[in-house]
Amino acid sequence: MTRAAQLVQRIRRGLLVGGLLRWGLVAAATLALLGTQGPGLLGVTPNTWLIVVLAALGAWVGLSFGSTASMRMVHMAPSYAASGRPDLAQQALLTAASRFSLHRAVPMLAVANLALLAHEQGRHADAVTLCRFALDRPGRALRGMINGLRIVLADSELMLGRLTAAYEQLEWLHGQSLGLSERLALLLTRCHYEVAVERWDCLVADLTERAELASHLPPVQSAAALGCLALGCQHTGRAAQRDWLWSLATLLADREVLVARLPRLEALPAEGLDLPWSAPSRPDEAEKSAGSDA
Amino acid sequence: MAMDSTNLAGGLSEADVERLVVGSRPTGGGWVRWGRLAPMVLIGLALGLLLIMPADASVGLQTVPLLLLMGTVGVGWWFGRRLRRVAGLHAQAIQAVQMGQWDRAEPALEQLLAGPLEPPGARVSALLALGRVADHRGLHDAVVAVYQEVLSSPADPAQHQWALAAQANSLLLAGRLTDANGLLDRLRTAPLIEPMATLAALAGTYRDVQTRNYAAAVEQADRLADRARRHLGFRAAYAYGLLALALAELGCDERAGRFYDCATRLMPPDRLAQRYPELAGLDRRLAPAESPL
Repeated sequence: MTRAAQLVQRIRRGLLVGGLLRWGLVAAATLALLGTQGPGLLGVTPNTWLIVVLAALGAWVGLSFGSTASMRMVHMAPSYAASGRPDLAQQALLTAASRFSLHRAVPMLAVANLALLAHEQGRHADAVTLCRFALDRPGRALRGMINGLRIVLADSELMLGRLTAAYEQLEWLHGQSLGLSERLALLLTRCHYEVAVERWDCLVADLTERAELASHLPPVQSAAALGCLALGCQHTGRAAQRDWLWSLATLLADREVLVARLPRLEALPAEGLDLPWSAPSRPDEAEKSAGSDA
Repeated sequence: MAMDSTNLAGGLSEADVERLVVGSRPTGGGWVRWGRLAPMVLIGLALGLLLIMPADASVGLQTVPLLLLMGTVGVGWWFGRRLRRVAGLHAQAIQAVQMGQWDRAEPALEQLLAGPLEPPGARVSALLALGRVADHRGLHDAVVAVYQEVLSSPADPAQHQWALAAQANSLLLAGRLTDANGLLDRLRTAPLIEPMATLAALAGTYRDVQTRNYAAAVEQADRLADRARRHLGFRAAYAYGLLALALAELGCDERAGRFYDCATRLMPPDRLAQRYPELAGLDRRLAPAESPL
């Protein structure tokens, strides 16, 4: 069993306990509220029942405060990842997901963010496990993340070579109202999918809009999307557009990086744009070469 | 050459930006704090009332704790509704800024920052978005003030670094060379993460171009171009454009032309000139790339 599957199992248990406690408190409070209405329900005075109501409410608020600390960890994780510390982000999310929480929002949000992180790190099998768990019963907490999770799931299935599973997710997303970040993520996934199934006409149908949208992606992803569009142009006989898009792609990222990401881009011209500068060697490369010299 | 600090394209003015910055400062007893405290206070009151209530109290008095509990629910509902409204406006503003839809971003930011805004993280990211809108409008002194506000607010390190690098650039565009120099000297030794380190290097190159120190601007051309390519995406066009100008001024027309070709593949000449006025007219000296799309 993978670590992701073990985590999912642990969270499932935590959700069950949290759900039982939640409903227990609600049931106790409801019964106690009924007790306050009539004299001597179960032989207890109305004031005592009211104390039970307040105790249940107090327990709810107290346990909610405990969940707040975990929620803060979940909210901190994206800024850790953005500042180049995905290890800290993962640690924070794992801790938040593993801790007991009265509210299912905390572990579910932690799982959803872990799925996004696994996808970014290229751990596609883990991303699929976590996405499927989160999408199984997303609840209100993940309402705003459902589209994003489906895009990640589609992309991860695609990377694992499962085209039918990827298609199911893309089909679901078709016609949904998407935000900017979702439209950007979907653009890249759609491009990958259309290259994989060789739907070249679809790929170049909205060429200008897609190229414009791709410019809002991070450099390597933008280059990958432009590379896919260039490949579509190559297969539909648009040489000038292909050369333009491929030169843009290789201006944004190294050809080798793009081909490693999507091997089918190998079919595009070997010579990208001739850059007017030579890449200075980086410190780690310099150290490596110094080591080999020694 | 500093741009005129007036409102170039309608919409926000410097006075508006200042009003939003000051107006959005959190007050001591902000609604977020009250939204969190009120349920606890109401529960406490209900409990206290129950403990001191005599057994033969009237029906009216006995319903008071229940009314307080209903008040708790009401406050929770109001607090949640307000939080959702702020989150919606925030997402709308950030998304519009990311897409460069300045006319859509402005009203959202005006509503969002019209009153004290909490939590602090939401205010800082809204201020960074406001800085970008004001930057686009050419309100460079106002941009400097916005980033100064970010720097004096509790923000995460990446947001602070972004504000520092962007402030250096805005100081140069506002013509405040002495202040910009001081800040760039500080940034040179600061441990910045990417892409902020590259943005700071870009501001340094812009200072060299602005002061016509072209030799210094191209001294690190290879390094700057490589870093810009790796970290700035399409915004690397600014670095290529400035290097092209510096090389053209030094008489290296062939290399300048190749840098300008790279810059104009990523961004059209008018957008480059809108960002850095020094680049206006460069398309008459060097051939820009032409898109077949």
